[in-house]
Formats: sequence, C-alpha cells, structure tokens
Amino acid sequence: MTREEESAVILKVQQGDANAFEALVTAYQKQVYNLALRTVGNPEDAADLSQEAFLRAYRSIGSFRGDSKFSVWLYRLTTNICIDFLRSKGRKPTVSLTMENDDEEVQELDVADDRFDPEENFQRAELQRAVQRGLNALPEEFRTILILRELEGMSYAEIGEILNLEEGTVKSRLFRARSRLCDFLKQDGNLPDSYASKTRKGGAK
Amino acid sequence: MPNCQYEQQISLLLDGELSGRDASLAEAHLRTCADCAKRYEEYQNLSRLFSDTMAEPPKDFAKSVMAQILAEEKEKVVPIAEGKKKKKKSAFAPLLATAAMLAVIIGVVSMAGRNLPTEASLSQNRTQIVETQQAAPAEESEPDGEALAAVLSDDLDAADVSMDTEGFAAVLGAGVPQSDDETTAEIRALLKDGTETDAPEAEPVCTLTDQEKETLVWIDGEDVIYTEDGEHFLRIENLADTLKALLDLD
Ligand SMILES: [Zn+2]
Repeated sequence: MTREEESAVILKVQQGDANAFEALVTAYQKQVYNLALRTVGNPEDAADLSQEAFLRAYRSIGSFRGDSKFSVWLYRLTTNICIDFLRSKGRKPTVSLTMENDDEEVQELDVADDRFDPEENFQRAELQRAVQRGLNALPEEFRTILILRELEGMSYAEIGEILNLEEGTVKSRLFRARSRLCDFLKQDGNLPDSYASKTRKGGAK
Repeated sequence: MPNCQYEQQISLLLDGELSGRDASLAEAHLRTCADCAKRYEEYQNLSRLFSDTMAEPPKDFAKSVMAQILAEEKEKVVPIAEGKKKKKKSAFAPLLATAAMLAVIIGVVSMAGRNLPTEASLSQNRTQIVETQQAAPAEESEPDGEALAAVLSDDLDAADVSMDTEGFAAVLGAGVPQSDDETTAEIRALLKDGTETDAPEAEPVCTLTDQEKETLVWIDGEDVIYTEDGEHFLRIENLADTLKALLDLD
C-alpha cells in the first residue's frame, strides 16, 4: 500500500466505512503483532494486545490528523497498550515463548518460513527465544526503544514521538540496549552471522 | 567487550542517525579500528536477527479484528436526527491544519513561482503566514481564541468546527504562540539525513525559516532535496508526497 492509498483508506474509515479498515489491519498486523510479542514476550498476550490495539485504532481514527505517519500513531497506541498491560500486572514480560518450561514441544509460535528448511526453522525458533530472553533482561524503558528501532525501523525522532522522550534520551538508551543485547546473545553463542547470508530478504520495515 | 569511545557513533551510523560529516568520520574510523568494525558487524547481525525471527500473527487475525469491529458498529445506535451529523471534511482538513501550524511554528513558509510576497516583505513580518492556495486576507478578523485552542489541541472534533478558511485566517492572524516541540520535531524528523546530491536548478518549493536556520526545500519527482547551509544538498527519497500533503500542494 502506498502512502496515498493508505491516506485514502484512512479517509474512508474516517467517513464511516468500517470495512475499509481491514486493509489497514492486513497491512500492519505483522508489525503490530511482533511489536506486542517482543514487548510482552508471549504469543497469547501478544495476540490479545495487538487485537486491542487495532480496535482502539479504529475507535479513535477520527483523531488521527495525518501530522505524523499512521505507523507512528499506530505503534504509539500499541506500545502504550503493552506497557499498560505489563505495568498493571506488575509483571515482567514472560520468560519463554515456548518450550522453556514445558517438556512437551508445543510449537506455539509461528516463526516458520518457507525460505528456510526445517532445520533452519528450528534454529530460528531457538534464536527467537534467545532474543526474547535477552530483551526480557532489559529494563522496559530500554527494551521498547530497541524494539521500535530494530523491528519497526523507526527513526530516533519517531521513537521519541511514540514514547514521549527527548531524542537524546532515545539515543543513549538505544545504544545501551543494543550493546547489552548484543553481549547477551554473544555470550551464549546466539548471535550468528553465518546463516544470515542466506536470508538477505529480511522481514522488518 | 569493545571499549573504544567510538562505539556509540558506530551504533548511530548503523541507524542512519549521523549527519553527513559525522557519518564520514565514523566510516573512516571503521576502516582503522578493528574493534569497531567487528562491533558494527555484530550490530548488523543483531538487526538481521530481529527481522529473521519475526513471527506470523495468528491465523485469521485480521478477520477476527474485523468481526469485532463490525459487531461493535452494529451495536452502535445512532439516532440520525440527534446524532451530531458532522459535515465530513476532506482528508486535507487536518493536513491543512498541520500545514498552517507548521507555518506558524516555523515563522515563514514561502513558495516560489506563485504570486507571492517577495522575500523582503516576508522577512519584514516573520510571523505572518503565507499559505498560497488558501491565502485569505487575515487583516480585519477578530482573533478567535476558541478556534485557536481547538487547532492547538488534539481534539479533532473541536478543530473541525474552526476549520474553514476564514476561521483559520483569523487564527493565523492572531499572535499565535510560538512552538510545539512535537511538531517541530516532526519537521526535523522529516528533513533529516538523505544522500548528498547536486544543487537543483529550479527554484525551491519552499523556504523554512527557523530562529537561526534557513532551510531551502525542493521537490524532485518523488524525492525531496533540501539544504541547510546552501552548500550541501541532501536528497531524501520518496518524501515528495508527504511534503506536498503537508504544504497542501498538488
Ligand atoms: Zn573504535
């Protein structure tokens, strides 16, 4: 969807065409879901929270004024919902995505991708959990910033807008978060570079 | 592990958050510092790890969201007679509001090639707004405090009421407060980075004048070119539409 198409869709929804909203859900579901997933750590909550994010986006789309990108506006909603969720529960993001504490191997999280063979997909599920463990080990204020940058490709200014932070704060926290996560993953040998060459395609952005 | 003082610069470089000069310095450093070169690669691998391990949303996620929305819509009983049947505004109403706000905040938005006041007359009155297509005489109108409040607040409903051109002119004519950091940041966020390019031949499409900085902006096809020092011209791809929308150009 181009930026113009997106604006047209938003306008339609603002004018009362509820069905038009589906195009926005389809376009952003993966980003929003992964944003929630990385923030709270487990697939069930992530699904509920990203659903909630879209519902709230729909209900308040009248107040979307087009002076920031729709994605920025939507991620701001999503982030707030996830942070409220974590704070209200007084909880940390869940430790595991799957398996961690189960003995049966339930593959709850779908990271499978036909660009990869089964062995690689297994490896990727492992890495996915490793990344999550690393993220969970970061304070929330650091984690969210890193996720918005790495997963959603937001600029520092946009992150500042989403989280109501000064750009300088974003800058220093992002660096520390990245540095810490990097060391965390390296320490367990979970920062591969060899397999990466096969997967230049990349999913984020 | 790495203990080079440049490490943060390396991280900024990766994110495209360094200005041209700082980026060159950081790149030069990368070529001479093995620690940083290694770190840079690790950061890249980390980024790739994020995108490679993205998960798929649950099956039928969109359907289930839409089912819920449509169910909610059905429940909504809107008595048409009483329902404040607001007149729908064009998508540009909010954008126009933004453009106007930008203009207020920045001080001057001048556009070349349209019968406009000269630079000289503009610089005489830095707080006056020149908004080409909508330009409406602002002189005699009473400042409309309420409309202004509405425009300044996030309340679209209220802003809606005051969105007609005349109301706007009144608002703009009034001594409008200077700044709203968020919006300023938004502009700064738009005109950032970009790749070095040649000076454009044409007249700039607009000039943004800040307290101490003057930024010239061109539209080149899908791209936007800008300069802050008149020496280095930076091109940002695919930003033309956004800029046009903000400036309410066609
Ligand atoms: Zn170094």
